[in-house]
Amino acid sequence: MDLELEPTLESIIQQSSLKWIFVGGKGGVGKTTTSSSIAVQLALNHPNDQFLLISTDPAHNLSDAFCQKFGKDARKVEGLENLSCMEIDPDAAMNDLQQQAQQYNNDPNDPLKSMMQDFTGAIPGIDEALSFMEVLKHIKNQKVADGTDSTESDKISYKTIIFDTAPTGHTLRFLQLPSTLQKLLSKFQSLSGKLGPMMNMLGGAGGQNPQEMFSKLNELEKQVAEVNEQFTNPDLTTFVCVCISEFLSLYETERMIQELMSYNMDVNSIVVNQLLFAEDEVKPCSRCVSRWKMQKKYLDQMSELYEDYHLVKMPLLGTEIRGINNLKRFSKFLLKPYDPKVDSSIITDLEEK
Amino acid sequence: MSESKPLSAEEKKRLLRERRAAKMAGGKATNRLNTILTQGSSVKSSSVTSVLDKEDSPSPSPSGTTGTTVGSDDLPTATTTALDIHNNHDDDPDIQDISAFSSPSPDPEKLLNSTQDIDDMFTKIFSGADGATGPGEDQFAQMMKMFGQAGAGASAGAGADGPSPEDFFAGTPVQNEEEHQYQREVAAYNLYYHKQWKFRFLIIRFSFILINFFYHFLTIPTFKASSYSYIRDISYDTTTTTSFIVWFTTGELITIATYFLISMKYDLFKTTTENSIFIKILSFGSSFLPQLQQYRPLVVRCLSYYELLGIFLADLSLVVVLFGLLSIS
Repeated sequence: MDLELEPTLESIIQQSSLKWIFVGGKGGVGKTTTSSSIAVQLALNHPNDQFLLISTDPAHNLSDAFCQKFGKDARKVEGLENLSCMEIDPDAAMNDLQQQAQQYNNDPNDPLKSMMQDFTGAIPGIDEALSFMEVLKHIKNQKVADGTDSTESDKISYKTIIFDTAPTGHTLRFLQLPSTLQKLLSKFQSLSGKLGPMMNMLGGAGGQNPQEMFSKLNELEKQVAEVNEQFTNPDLTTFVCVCISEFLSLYETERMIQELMSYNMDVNSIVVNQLLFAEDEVKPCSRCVSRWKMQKKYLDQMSELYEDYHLVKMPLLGTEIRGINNLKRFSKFLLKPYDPKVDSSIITDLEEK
Repeated sequence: MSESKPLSAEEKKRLLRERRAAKMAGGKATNRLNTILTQGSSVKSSSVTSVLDKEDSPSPSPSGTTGTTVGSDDLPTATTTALDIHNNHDDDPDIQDISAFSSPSPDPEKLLNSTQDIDDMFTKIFSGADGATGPGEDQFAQMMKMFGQAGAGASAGAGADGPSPEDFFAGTPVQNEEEHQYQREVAAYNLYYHKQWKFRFLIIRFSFILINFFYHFLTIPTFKASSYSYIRDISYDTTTTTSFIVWFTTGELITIATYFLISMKYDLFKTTTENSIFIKILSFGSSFLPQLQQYRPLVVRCLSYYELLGIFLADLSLVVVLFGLLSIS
């Protein structure tokens, strides 16, 4: 049976059940541009819903992409009121944690305090962990919107959250967190059952109520399990791979797809950026022609390998795609395939920032 | 003819998921990677294994596969975590067996029991292997002799630059002792060989000088000497003396040149220079100032020429003695 797949992200944009969209790939392929474009199209196609774009890349670029300063709190994009952006700042998040922990340890002279701050800020994977905490927070907020949790009613619930991820390795580590944490927590729970009395004694000595600690851990475990469940549900979560038409990127994309499949995460769309489409030019430049020839070789390979995926081909433009207006113009090619004969004017027509 | 029902969007998605999973199952994931590598002319072609094909203990996704994710039976069931992948070292390079390169470790028992051997060794070193310690030699001379003997032993036939720490510390004490014994014997032989040649040339030189002298003394009546200058002035016949000197000089030149050539051929100068106090001082000093080693060839050459000069002076001394005896008569 031949299932024709349109080379667009229409299915993602129109899928109403999606809650989590991850956009990832190798460094420098256009993840931020693609994730911003997806977020813009979602916001444009669903004007009544709220969307959130979170950058989990420690080297944040969202502010540059939208030409607007974003921070650790969600801020609305100027010109698109139903889209907010957030750049997770590990340092600020750690400060928040420290403030929360102060209720347990108020000693200003505690020498371990600052040391722990420096230490934990340098732990590999801390960015991913903090991003994950943000995810947990939003899951909680969604329950508010669904009415399942009546404790907090003033939190915004976003219909879909789009993640602009860090280059491949970081993202994969982030995606492992739910299952890793869940295993850790279940181990801890089984241990706490065995070492309960001793834990009580230690907890009592530290001034903390171990029961409270256990209940918090239980709650955390439930949240993590829920995250895990949601991330592996293709109706709720999908991963958009971004690549360019080159050997290294193709290989990395294939590896990433296989890795994601091992996590049971749905991948059905691949965006190929920076394509030259040089064969239809009136005055072709020799470098572009040569490069386009190379790109076509890998595009043909991708067509064979990814015949069951939505393979979206995006052009390389003459200027950077920055600012909401440029993103709006560029992102429409995610829904309507780029035709070099008709749409080539956009290459030199963008606003310069 | 029945019309096939058009697929709903959900069914289409499900079918596509199953197709995607089927294309990755059963080792096909690795094939896909290797196809990419081969077509991309990668150096790692055909040597990678997909994470989906690696045989790891399944780490179950806690919630399981929710709903109708990819429900077909031929799905890869082993869900691996990055930790498992990290611990799977299939792609690591082979571990090389370096046992061929490692030297056998010394027997600990032998080492423990070799204290006495080490003491004996040091005693022998400091007392002099050939027993040639003179009663008047001081400790410094003994140490110099130790270095010289060790250096001579180490460099016998090898041309090494004096003793090296390896001579003392390399290998086990038993091996070291045998090596030292050998080196000493080689040094002793070289010394004997050198002396042998020197003796031969000594015989030749002295014979020539004596023949020259007695020839002139017996055949020429005016070949006389005196400690008084007025007597020398009265009966002084320069031709006989000149004849003697010419013959003497000629003989010296020939013997010294021949000795030099033979010494160069059989490397006899090495024995002389190695036992020289100057070389020993140079070796000792170069351990603190390595730059001194650059002067070693110059010193060796000077010592060689000094030996030749010594030969000439010795012969001249004989001539002086002979003329002195002549002056008495």
